[in-house]
Amino acid sequence: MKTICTMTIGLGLFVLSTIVPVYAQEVPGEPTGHEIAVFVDELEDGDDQISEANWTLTNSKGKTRRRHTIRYWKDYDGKDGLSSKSFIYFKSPPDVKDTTFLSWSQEDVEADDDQWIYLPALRKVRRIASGNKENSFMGSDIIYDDMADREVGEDTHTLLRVEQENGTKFYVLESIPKKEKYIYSKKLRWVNAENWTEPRIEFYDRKGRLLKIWTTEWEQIDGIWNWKRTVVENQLTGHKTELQISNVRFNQNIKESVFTERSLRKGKP
Amino acid sequence: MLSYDRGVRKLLPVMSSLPLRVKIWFFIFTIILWMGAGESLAQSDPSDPPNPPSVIRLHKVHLTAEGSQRRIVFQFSQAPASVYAFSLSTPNRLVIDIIGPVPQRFSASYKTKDSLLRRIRVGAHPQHLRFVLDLKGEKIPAFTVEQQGSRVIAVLHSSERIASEARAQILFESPQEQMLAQSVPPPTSSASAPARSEQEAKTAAAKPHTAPKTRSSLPEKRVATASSQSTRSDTQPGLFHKLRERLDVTGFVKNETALRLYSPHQFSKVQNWFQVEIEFELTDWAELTAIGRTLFDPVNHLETDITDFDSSPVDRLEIGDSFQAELRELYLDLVYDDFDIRLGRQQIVWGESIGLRILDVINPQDFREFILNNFIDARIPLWSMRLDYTLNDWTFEAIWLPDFEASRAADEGSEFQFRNVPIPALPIQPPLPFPSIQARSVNEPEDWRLSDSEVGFRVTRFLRNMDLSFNYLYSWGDFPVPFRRVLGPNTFRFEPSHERFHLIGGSFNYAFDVFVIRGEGGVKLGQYFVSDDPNERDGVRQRELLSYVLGLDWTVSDNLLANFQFFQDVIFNKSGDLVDEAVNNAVSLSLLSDFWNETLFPELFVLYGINFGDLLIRPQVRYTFSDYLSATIGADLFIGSRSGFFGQYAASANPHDRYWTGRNSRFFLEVKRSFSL
Repeated sequence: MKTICTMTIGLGLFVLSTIVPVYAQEVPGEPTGHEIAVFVDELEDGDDQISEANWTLTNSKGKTRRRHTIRYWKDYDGKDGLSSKSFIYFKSPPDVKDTTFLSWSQEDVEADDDQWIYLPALRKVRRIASGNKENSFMGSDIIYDDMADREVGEDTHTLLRVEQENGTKFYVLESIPKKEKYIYSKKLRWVNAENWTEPRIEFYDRKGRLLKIWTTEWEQIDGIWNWKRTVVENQLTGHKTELQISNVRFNQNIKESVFTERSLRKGKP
Repeated sequence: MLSYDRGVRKLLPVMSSLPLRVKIWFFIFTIILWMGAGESLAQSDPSDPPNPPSVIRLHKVHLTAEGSQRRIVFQFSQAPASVYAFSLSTPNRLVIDIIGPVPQRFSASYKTKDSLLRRIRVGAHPQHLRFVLDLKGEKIPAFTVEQQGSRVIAVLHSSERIASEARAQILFESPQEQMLAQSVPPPTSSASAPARSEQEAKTAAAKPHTAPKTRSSLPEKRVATASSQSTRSDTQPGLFHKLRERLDVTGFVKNETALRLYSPHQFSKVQNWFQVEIEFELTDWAELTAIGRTLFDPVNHLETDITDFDSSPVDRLEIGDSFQAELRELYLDLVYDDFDIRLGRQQIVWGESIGLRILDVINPQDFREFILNNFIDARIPLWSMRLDYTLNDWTFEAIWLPDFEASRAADEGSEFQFRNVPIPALPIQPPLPFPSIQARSVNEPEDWRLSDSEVGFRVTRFLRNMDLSFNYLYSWGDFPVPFRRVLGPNTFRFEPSHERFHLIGGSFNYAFDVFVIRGEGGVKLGQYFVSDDPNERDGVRQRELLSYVLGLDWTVSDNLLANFQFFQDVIFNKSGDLVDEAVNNAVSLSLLSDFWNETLFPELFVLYGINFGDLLIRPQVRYTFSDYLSATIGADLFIGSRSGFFGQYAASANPHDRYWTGRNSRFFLEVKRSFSL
């Protein structure tokens, strides 16, 4: 009887272990890396958002270029198989003014997003292939993959250590992609233990070299944490991208019609 | 040719001599400007900074009308420090000041459907929100204004005889209020409204971080507002600033210099551009755009006769042989919830292809530089109307073009004069050696005659990985058909005339992985082709023409994009006497790359005409020194048989000597300096 009980419990544990992922506690008394990644992923970002960004692109010689964009973003949360839709409109400089970029992010992480660009020089909307996510976004150090939603399950997350800085506790998380041929070999992420924001991320390329460092100042607007200033520095080329975010507005009931061909051709929402 | 003096004199009495179409546009723009001015002053910038969380936010405005009494309830996010109300006359208004911490910038106007209250305007002032109730009627009604926690209730009692009515209107409601309205059962009577508002106020207080509804997404359509006396003093200091915020001026100066590769080694152009684009946001739903340019080319090889451009005085001004100024585009955008209207002189672009036009035939084209200049510069804008309507993932577009202009072939003797223009054969009978040939002026459709206008529509659908469009256009041929009449023995007359055609077509694209397959095509019904049969009655025959292109975009790497295209023209039921080929094929290759964080752009574009083996090869490298300064160096090389579309500009007159480049092949350098004010 005891043997049967033991076998039953053992079988039950085996079955449980196959359906419920078990994450070892990497630092005693702290959540696991996976749990932290989930907390970060679940950070409230509103139902929709309008924001402006001033981009400053600086090359290794210190020469700068600037862009001013307005971004509309709407959370679809699985509706129509979509994760979100975003619309980016370039206000300046004159040569890229009125260029617009529309993206429909798919809920299925394996599926390619639908993306279009409107080029005012052609006066045409062109669908663009989204299979290559390593393309730079408008010459910046941010690539299309950085802008896409990344699911927690796409990486293996490990809590490496806990750091204290100015009285604030940070989790240092290592996220290694499960897919072998991913753009980055790993990311090191500093996560604020109080609000789950990420003030620093280090990206390592396929060869394991430190490729870029992404630092972000956050601010809370209407109860939602949002970027205030972000700097992405490419450690291999010396090129740097700075984004200053302003005029952030959440939950504006952005209309569906903003994310359509009509808005693209208009060159603005 | 129009001299400077004559040009100025021609423009001075312009209003009286303008064509009807121009007067109509002036009238429309004036009305919109007038409407927009008031709203421009009253409304804040759409990019207002977010409000700090502690400010008093407007959640709801509710109007209840019963007989001669009006009850207006203002629901706020928190209780104001105090409320102050007073009335103003001429015109009659009731002003309610909400004292307390308020958003720095906020203004809106809510129109009512009421016999006593015209509308309610609100604007942010230092330390108070000011609501102005614009009243109807000759007398200011008696009023009471009372604060109840986070609500302010204004009650108007009119002594005037007004129609009895009992109705409630929600003039404004923030998102959280709307959510509550959906989750909380609606009140069954007006008596339950206060209780519901209390609950809303409590819920709102419990959610201090939710964002307020701002002007940019108000459910009500905003209307133009005029500043009242009580608020004008507050808006005057910011007048210039607000106007400036709504004005966007950009442009560029550019020098394009091209040098012929082969003898005579001359500059084929030294073209200096100055282009300005002005956008003025009249209201949140109306914007005016004007694009003008001047061209100065002292070598003047691209044009030998610049008076052949069909346009009215406001479209184009020519001074001397080398200078021209042109109003390229002038249009008004009216934007509503699900549809837009664009009225004015504009370009309307359809299609997917690069380099050659299949469906992009709505605007005529200026061929002064063959197909070498950008289409956006080569298209001749037309006075027209475009209406876009969106329904889910469908976009419906309707166009109407009452204006007509023909495409402009390069001038006789100019750099890119057409050299392969087919002409109908003449049935010459012996013994007279010299036929008598007459030519009538070109028969063109009349501008602004309804029956002569062009119309079209397009339906587009965005699908998963794929876009589809269906297009229809009822238009005029951009080049005249050279009808040949036989008047008598060896006496002929050419009667060139623009003729109608129907274009039925569509386009598609399909994206997968790093590829996008594209296609567009259309059948032209009623196209005319020149016959070399001397016995053909008019020297031309009417046939159906199918034109299509299939293309593939391939993102080769993160800085290289390749595009391949196959073009084909097929003339249905082609008879042997027609000069054009029954099937005409061409292919193209385009390589676009970028380096150094998109500052260096090497590009290659090759078009190959299969039927005649002729080529156009266009390598170029562009470097952007800064956001405002760039330079491009490149070449346009024509190679192959002179019978071909591209080879007509190659060097050799000997058809066997096919692979010499030259005559019009050129090196070029462009330097462009952009600006924004």
